[in-house]
Formats: sequence, structure tokens, C-alpha cells
Amino acid sequence: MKGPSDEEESWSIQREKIIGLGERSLRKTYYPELQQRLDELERFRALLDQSNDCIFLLHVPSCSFVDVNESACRQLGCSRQDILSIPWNRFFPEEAVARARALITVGIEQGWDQDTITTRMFKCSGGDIPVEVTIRLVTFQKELYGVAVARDITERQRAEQVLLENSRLRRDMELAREIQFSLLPAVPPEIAGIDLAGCCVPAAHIGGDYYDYFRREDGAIDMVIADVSGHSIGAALLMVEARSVICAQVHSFTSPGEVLASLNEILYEDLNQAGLFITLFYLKYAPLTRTLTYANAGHVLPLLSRSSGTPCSELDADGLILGVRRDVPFEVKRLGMQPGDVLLLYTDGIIEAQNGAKELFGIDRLCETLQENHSKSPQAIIDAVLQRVTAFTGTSALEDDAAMIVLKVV
Amino acid sequence: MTDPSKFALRKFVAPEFIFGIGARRLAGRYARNFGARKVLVVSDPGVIAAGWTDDVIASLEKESVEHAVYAAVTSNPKSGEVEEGAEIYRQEECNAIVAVGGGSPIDCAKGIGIVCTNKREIGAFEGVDKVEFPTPPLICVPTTAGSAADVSQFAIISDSRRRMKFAIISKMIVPDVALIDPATTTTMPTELTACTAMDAFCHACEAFVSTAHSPITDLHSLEAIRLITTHLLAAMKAPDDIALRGEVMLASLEAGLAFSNASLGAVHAMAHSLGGLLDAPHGECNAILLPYVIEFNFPAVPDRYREIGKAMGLNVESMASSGAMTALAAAVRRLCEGAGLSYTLTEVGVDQSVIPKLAEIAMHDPCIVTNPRKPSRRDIEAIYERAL
Repeated sequence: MKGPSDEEESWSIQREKIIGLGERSLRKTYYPELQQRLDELERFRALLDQSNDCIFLLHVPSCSFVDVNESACRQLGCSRQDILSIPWNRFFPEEAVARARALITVGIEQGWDQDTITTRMFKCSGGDIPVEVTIRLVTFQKELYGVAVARDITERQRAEQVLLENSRLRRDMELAREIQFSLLPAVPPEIAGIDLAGCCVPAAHIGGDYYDYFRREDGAIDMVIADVSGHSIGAALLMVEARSVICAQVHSFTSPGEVLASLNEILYEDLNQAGLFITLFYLKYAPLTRTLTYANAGHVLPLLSRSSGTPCSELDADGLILGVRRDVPFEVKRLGMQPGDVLLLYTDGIIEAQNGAKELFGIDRLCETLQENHSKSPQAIIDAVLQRVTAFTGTSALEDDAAMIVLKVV
Repeated sequence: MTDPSKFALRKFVAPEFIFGIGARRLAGRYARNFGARKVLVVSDPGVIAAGWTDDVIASLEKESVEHAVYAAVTSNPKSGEVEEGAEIYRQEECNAIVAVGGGSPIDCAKGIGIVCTNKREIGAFEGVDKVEFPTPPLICVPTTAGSAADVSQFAIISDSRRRMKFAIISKMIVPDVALIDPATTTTMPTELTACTAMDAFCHACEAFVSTAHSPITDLHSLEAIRLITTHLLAAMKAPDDIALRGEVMLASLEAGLAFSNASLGAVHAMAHSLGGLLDAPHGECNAILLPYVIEFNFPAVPDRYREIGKAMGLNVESMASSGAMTALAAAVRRLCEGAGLSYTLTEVGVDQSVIPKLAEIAMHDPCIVTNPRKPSRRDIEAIYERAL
């Protein structure tokens, strides 16, 4: 219950307010609200000006721009005043203007209030910008306006072009790889006294691995495994060239050393010019004498797993990589083989396969695999190696091409 | 020697106003200049029938300002009418208001404006300085010479549910412009002329003795009293005399400027209570109560009342206090009688049983706080009883 003094006080406060001396005894003024709205407008304007897109407000009845953002002025290279005073259709080609007119005239009637036009926008300073313009029709205060947002699509068009070219290139590469693979022997020749198997596992990109067999008239068989440095189309082309030269030269020489020396002479110029090298191992096997004769041009050394069960060993012979210099001598070595001996020729794609921890597969794992599978057929040995490599890397695709030949004396 | 209390802080707020014959036709120009796209015209059926609303609409059309009309306002405008008008304002997407009529349409228009920008129901603004956001532009064309709602910071709304009138007092609701055209008062029926003029007379008297009066409001109060005393009865006899109508309209304006700034007193507090509870006509209630309130207040401010007597042409200077009081009350009664307003509260439907309720409501009316003599509830009950 209010006491008389409370009532006295409340009457006196109320009287002060009625007189107009209260904190909020103010006459109506719109200025504070106006100021607040102006601040909001300024913030909104800053927002629009910060946009990378050009934003235009088109007053439809008068066919003129009534507002544009800062970005439009910058990209068109004209002042705001200029843009507002030039007829809007002068900024766009005729066909784009016609589309916009169609939207304005028939669009509304058909309940169609927006359109996106890919066109060009003419700068005041000359030249043009490729743009995608989205126009929306809106009504403010019973007047029809078009809000046009023009986005510069120079970058997008460039990216699309690159994408197109890339896909063309990829198709060409596919074709090149197919051709390259078709040059490898489909099946190994059948030679009495030995079992043979070969394979080439394609990597994600084109490479320069190569292997081949050549039957000799004396019943011997020559085998070659090679790797052109790099993964370029150039490497692939040189691999094809090397193959042609080998095929042409192989029957002119009997010694692997002579074959390699001749190859080096013929290919030196081209390899040197391309800045590429070839590593190559050349091997001849005479079934009658069970003799291997071989020479090496800097290739990874083949592994030999004897039937006697001794640890696997490498076949080594001195010789420089092809393409380093002319006149290179190649050491030729001989080795007697026993039934059950297994020889594995390979390229570095096998031992350089990496796992997630960036460890290499390495020669030790390869030897182990070879010895564990010693008793199996050459094809089974190849399969075992590939399986082990895949298990090691955790992925089925190899970084590099990998080729192998397995020879087993029976 | 001048009493320093004469220079206590006082504020004087008045809208821009145009006073003169034909002022109503400027509504369109003002609406356009205020940025109006579509105005809500608030009026009532009587004013529409008299043709004044159409004049105002024509001036809007001339300026190509669109309009919507809300004309269902009754006397003692109800809060429901405010909400109804506000709904039309929103639906029609108006952005300004033109009120054409007496105090009821103008107060209703003020309420509509408050509700539209402050987004709460009208009851929430009862009291002083409760309006936070400025209302839409409000143009007033008064068609009675009395309420002066077109220049005041008051809006009186009836809450039919609570059966009481509540006052909204805020400088925020002083209209933006008043277009005061004496021509619009020529169609008022005699009784309405009398009631509204006595309302204005009450405004002037109460403002003059108010505890919030100031030298400026005093000038307007006394001039209004003088004008009404001199011209009211003549104007009632010659309703088409535009000059006499002009004098009464001017009295209403001056009384309005005075009371809007000096506020009122017990007569209005008690009349609001009557209007809310019984829907009794405001002007009549004022006229009935005024002499009794003069008798109650006189001892507190005898010199102020003597000034009123002088303005009415009474020779009160030579009289003793009690004589002066009696003479003044009698002069007011004579004026009312002359105007045909010799009623008692019984005749407007009051009986003894409602008096405690009436007094309680009156004691909470903001007008009571500036009454020159602070009444108790019992005092108020006694005044009502005497007026039965």
C-alpha cells in the first residue's frame, strides 16, 4: 500500500514529466532514426563496394542505371557519374541487350523474373571483359527495376580451356601408352631347357621401361631389359627408338658387349640432345651349354637364385649408362647355369616402390621373395613379387613402371 | 515584486499550425512534403457526411498522394478502434496519417501512429513519456472548436474492457502540423458547438490554475476565456457566421496551446473517469463539473481565479474572496446555461453507487497531479455528489 509521501513523490515526478522536464520528454524527431538508417546504408554500401562482382541497378521505365557499386566503376574504368549518364545498352553487345529486353518485356507476363547471360562487358577505356550477368527483376515502390550482377569470368574461361587441353593431352597419352605396351612381347618364346616369363606393370604415367627376347639361329636366346630415365613422353619416344635400334642391330653382333657398344654409338646423339639416359642389361643364354653371357649398361643388377640354396647373388659387369659418352667399352661376363637356377631381371620400379612411411621395397625383400618362391614357375614368381610389392606399398598402382623377366633352367 | 517561482523551468511545445479559412485544403501539400506515399485518413461518419473528409481527400489526390480511409471512430475512441485502424494502416502500407474530425478521430489517429511504430498494444503507452519511437507524420484537420487534440501532447483512449479512459501524454504525439480551418466548424450542430466550446473553456481555466502553468500558457488561457465568454453565445445564434466561428476556433487553439503545456486538473480527471465508465459526452461532463471544482480549488489560488473572473468581464477586484468565488461560479453556470448545458450528473446517468469507483479512477488520472489544490479521494467523491 502506498503511503501519502510515496503518492506525493509520484505526483511530483509525474508533474515534472508533464511539464516536459523528464529524461524522455522529447518532441518527435526522426533524426536519430535517420542517422541510424544512414549508418546502416553506409555499411551496406561498403559491403556492396567490397564485392568483386559488378552490381548495377537498372531503372526499367527510364532504361538507365540508377546505381552501381565501386567494383563496377573499377572494372569498367569509368566514374559512377559516367556510368549513370551513359545508356545501359552501350555496355553490352546487342544480343545480350536483346535478351535483357526480352526478360523485361515478356518475362514479367510469363512469371519469369530472372536470366543469366554469358556475354562481354565494354569498358569505358576500350576493350572488354568476359562476364556472366545475372539479372533479376524487382519492384520497389511500384517501379520496376533490374538488379544485374556481372561476374568477370576471365579466370574461369582460362581454367576451362586448360581443363579441355588437359583432357585432350590425357587422351593422347593413353594412346601412346597403348602403343608402347603393344611393342612389348605378348608371350615369351618357347625354348627347350628353360622356362621364361616377362611382365611390365604400367604406372600412373607414361614411362620408358622395356624388355624383349630375340631368338638366335644357333638356338640361343637374347634377352634385354632397359629403362629410359624420366617419365616424359620424350622417355617413351626414346624407348621406342631404342627398341627399333636393338631389333635392327641385334643380329649384326654376337657378343652382348658389341651390341651395347653399337647401341651407345647410335643412340648417343639423340639421348644427349634429349638429356636422357638408358640403363640396359643384355643377356644371352645358350641352352646347349647352359651358359649365360651378359653385359650391363648401368642397369640394376639381375638377381640369381641357385638351386643349391646359396643366398641370392647379383650378376655384375662393368659398363656405363647409354648416352653419357661415346666409345664406351662394355665388359662381357659368362656364367654356367644349373637346372633349377632362377634368374630375375627387373627395373628399378620394383625396388623403389615406397610404402606410406617412405621406405623403399629394396633388394633384400626382392631376394627374399625370389628365394621363397624359388621352386615355382617363372610366371608364379613374377606374380609373387608383384603381390609382395602391392602388399608393401598398400596400393595397387606403382609410382613407376616396373618390368621383370624371370628365366628358370629346367 | 515578482515572485521568482514565475521563472521555474517550463517548456512550451506546439506543432506547426496554419489557422485560417481554407487551411484544410493544404493537407495534400503537407502530406507530399512529409514524404507520404499513402496516407491513412482517420475520420468519423458525421464528419464524412458534412463533406470535410472529402475536401481533404481531394487535396491529397491533387498532390497524387494515395490514401486509405478508416472512419469507424466513435466518440470517446476505443482501444479496439485504434488496433483496427493500425491494421488497415499496415495492410494498406501507409506511411503517414491525416486525421479529420473532432477530438475522437484525432486521438484515435495518434493511437494508430503509436501502435504502428512502437509495435505494442495501445494500453502499454498509458501514462507520461511512454512512447519510445516517433510516430508516422500526423496531419490534423480539426472540425470542432474545443478538443484542441490537433495541437496537444494528449491522447485519451477508452479501454472498453476495463471501462475506463486512459491518457497518453507524450511530446512525441504532438502532431506535425495542424490545419485549423474555422469553416469546418460551421456544420457543427448547436449542442456540439456548446459542448466543445465548454471543453475549450475548461481547458483554459484548468491550465490557468494548473501548478504547471507558465507566463506563456497564461497569455493563451486568459485570451481563450475572454474569446469564449464574448463570442460563444453569438456564434451559436449565427452558426454560419464564419467570423464568430473563427473567434471560437481561435479560443479553442489558444486553450489547446495552454493546456497541452500546462496540463489540466480535477475537472478533466473526473470527466475522464465519467467518460470511461458511462461513455458520457466529454464536453457536457466538463461543463457540469467546472463550477463545483472552482468552488473546491478557489481557496488554494484565489488570485488566479480572480484573473479568470476579470477575463470573463466580472468586477471581482472589489469583492471579498467568498464573493468572488460565488460570482465566478455563477458566471460559469450562466455561460453553460446560455449555451444550453444546464445538466446535472444524474442526467448523464450517474448515481450515488458509482461515485466511489469514479473517484478512485479519477485519483489515478494524470490530470489530477497539476490540480492547484491536492484533493483526497473523499474530496473528489464530495464534488461528484454535489454535481448529482
